[in-house]
Amino acid sequence: MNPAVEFVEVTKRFGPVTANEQVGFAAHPGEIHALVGENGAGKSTLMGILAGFVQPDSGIVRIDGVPAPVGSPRAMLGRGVGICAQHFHQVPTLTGYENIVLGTMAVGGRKQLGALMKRYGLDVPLDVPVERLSLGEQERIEILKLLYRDARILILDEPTAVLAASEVRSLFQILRRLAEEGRAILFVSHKLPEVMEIADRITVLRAGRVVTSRKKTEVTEDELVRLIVGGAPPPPARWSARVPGRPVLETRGLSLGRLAKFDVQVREGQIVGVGGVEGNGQQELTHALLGYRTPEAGTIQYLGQSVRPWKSHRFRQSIGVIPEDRQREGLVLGRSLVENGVLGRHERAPFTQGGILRWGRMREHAESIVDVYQVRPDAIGLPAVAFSGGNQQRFIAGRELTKKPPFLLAVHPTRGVDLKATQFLHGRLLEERTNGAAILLVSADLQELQTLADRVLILYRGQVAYSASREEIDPERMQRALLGLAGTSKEGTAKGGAPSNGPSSRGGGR
Amino acid sequence: MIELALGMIAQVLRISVPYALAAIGGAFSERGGVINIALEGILLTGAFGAAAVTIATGNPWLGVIGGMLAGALLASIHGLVTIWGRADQILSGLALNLLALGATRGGLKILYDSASNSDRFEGVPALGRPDSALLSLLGQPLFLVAVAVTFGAHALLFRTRFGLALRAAGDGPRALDGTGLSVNLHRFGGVLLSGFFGGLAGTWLVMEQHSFTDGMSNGRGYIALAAMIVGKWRPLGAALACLLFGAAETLQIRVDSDVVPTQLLQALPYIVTLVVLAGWIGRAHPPLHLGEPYEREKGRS
Repeated sequence: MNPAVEFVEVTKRFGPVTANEQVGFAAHPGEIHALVGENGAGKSTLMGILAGFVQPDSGIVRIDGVPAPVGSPRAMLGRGVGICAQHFHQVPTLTGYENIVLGTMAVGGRKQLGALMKRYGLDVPLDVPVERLSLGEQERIEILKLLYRDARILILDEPTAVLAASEVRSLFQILRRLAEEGRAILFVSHKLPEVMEIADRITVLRAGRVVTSRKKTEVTEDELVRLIVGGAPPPPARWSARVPGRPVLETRGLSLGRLAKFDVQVREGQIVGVGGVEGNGQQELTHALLGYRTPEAGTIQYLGQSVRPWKSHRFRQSIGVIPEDRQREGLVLGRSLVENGVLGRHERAPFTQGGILRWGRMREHAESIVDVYQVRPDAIGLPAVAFSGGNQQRFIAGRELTKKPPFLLAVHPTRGVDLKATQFLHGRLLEERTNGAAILLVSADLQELQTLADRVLILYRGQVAYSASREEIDPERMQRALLGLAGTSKEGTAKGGAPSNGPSSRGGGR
Repeated sequence: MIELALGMIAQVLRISVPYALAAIGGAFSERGGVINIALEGILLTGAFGAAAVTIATGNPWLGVIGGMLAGALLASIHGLVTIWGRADQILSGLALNLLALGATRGGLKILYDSASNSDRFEGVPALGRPDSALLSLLGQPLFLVAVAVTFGAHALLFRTRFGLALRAAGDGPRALDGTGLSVNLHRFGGVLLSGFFGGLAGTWLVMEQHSFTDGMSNGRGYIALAAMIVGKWRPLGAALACLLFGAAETLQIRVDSDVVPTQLLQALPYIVTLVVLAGWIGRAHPPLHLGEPYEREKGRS
């Protein structure tokens, strides 16, 4: 039988950057084929080529043994290729139904969709604009869209990045079933345990080239890491005990939207981690702290001073922020690293003197960030948009941490970032902690919270459902709290193993 | 008294028609993602085209078609330059407005040897000759066309596959591309429709006045854009906003200026627009990708 998809010597360059170099491998019908590699290894570009969005410079893509016309989404769609991209291809203002039938003859669409939803257990509201759905629901719409078009080759680019553990389960069941029906599934992911669980075959890309393409049974997770990184992996970041200093940031009864009466205290040399399934108040918390939205109630104390809404600008300037959306909130994509490097600090010494920018200093600064945080390519003149997600994140972290801020807010700092960069960033965060920074870490990744945090809080529906210091974390209870299954959080807060009076859940009521 | 009221209603409708047609045109262009301030020039070109064809052929219906085609011609230049040429949409619109002003002026000179107006002509003949102002308006075929266009446009945008795809072109072009439909062609379709509608608006003006005068669009294209925003980029909403603006203009004509300064009434459309833009009367969300040319390979994720 012909492979469903076969890449033959596919090469793609973006200006000076080579995204794919002589890529060749095949995925077969009925196979879940994982594509792994670091940020910038060329996975997404390759999938873009397969979906027709990216025109390769050379090479052939065969579908069912026949070369396909490249560079046209329409042609690829016609050959049975469907993509669920990392950033969903959706029209936010249209309903799920409209998004699904867009571009098709929508006769009898509803009935057919109903049947599909039932068959695969893909329950999702169809008559609400998709912008009002959660990311998990939006993903289900995307998958329904592929099934509605009866795609035989399904590309899923980082589909689990936005899902909670339970949602990942049901996604995997669906993928299994689709593969059993004889479809080929290309599964792009950073998460190796997931890859080892779901994939039949694994292809590793490094620096745009295929390193290996083999059956899952022929490789272990450790080997995979070596293949991805190209050598021994960097050692994981080491946490060490440290006595926290004075309180730096403290909220009392902070309420905004679904976030209800949130109390937290972060001290010098302490990392407090806030976890939970996305949409349980994390965004309200960060927005309230940063002054993007005015809290409905409660106070924020910073270094003993109250942060008033009209002073939030000042506050933001004095702290470090690794924002949730690096492309929207962290960088000015069209501008160079030189300019991005002084974002938020451009009106201060040494970057400005008498209102005149000092470009020499700005350049030196960007150079040093690129150097220390190993941003690649090391070209400070390139616009931020030219860098891969992991390198953008390295640069942002570098910019924020070189401020030596007393308080750092890190929101999903390693989301969509590869292993090497993740461990590097973890190491830097711990180093800042050692140097006395107070860090509030918001992350959906429990592993990350357990690696870094002195204390972990789990938010569920805007309330603290679980709270424990590092030593007393009970992974199972934490997992249950995440899903809203925890009975109470009394134990976690009452014991309070941490030396500080730490964050408490809202047990007392009004 | 009733006669007076009916007369006023007729006048409001009469004034509102060109605004509404142009505003609906604007909605089609912008829903697809293309800012169209060339509407002012489209109106003017449409008016000139309608006048020239009517005078040349003696057939006002051919004039109507000529007006719409003239509007569409200008719009298609805007579309080509901004969609495929990726030119700045505001600048292209400005340039086309200036071009339209100069070209119609030149046309007046060449065709009618006049610096200010064309020859006079009969407009589209009315159906019957009722004596009431309102009935006479209702008896005008072009008015009926305008009403039909308003409702038809709304249905086209919200009830057809083309409309859905057009809205997708403005709100999520990448998703549209991913379904195999062309973003650029749909956008061009929207811009072209704005040319037909805008041209029809100009035609209405010139048929009402029975001759073309230099610069007769007189800012109506801009007011139409304001109405489009107040109407939240929806054809029916835009038409309603135009009725409001038309009512203000009627008042300004009819009410003695001692009570309310006419300048205030003249400014009303813009004040209402600012209020809406500022979000004081329900928020108006422009199409999410308004003003951005679509590039398939932009952004690697």
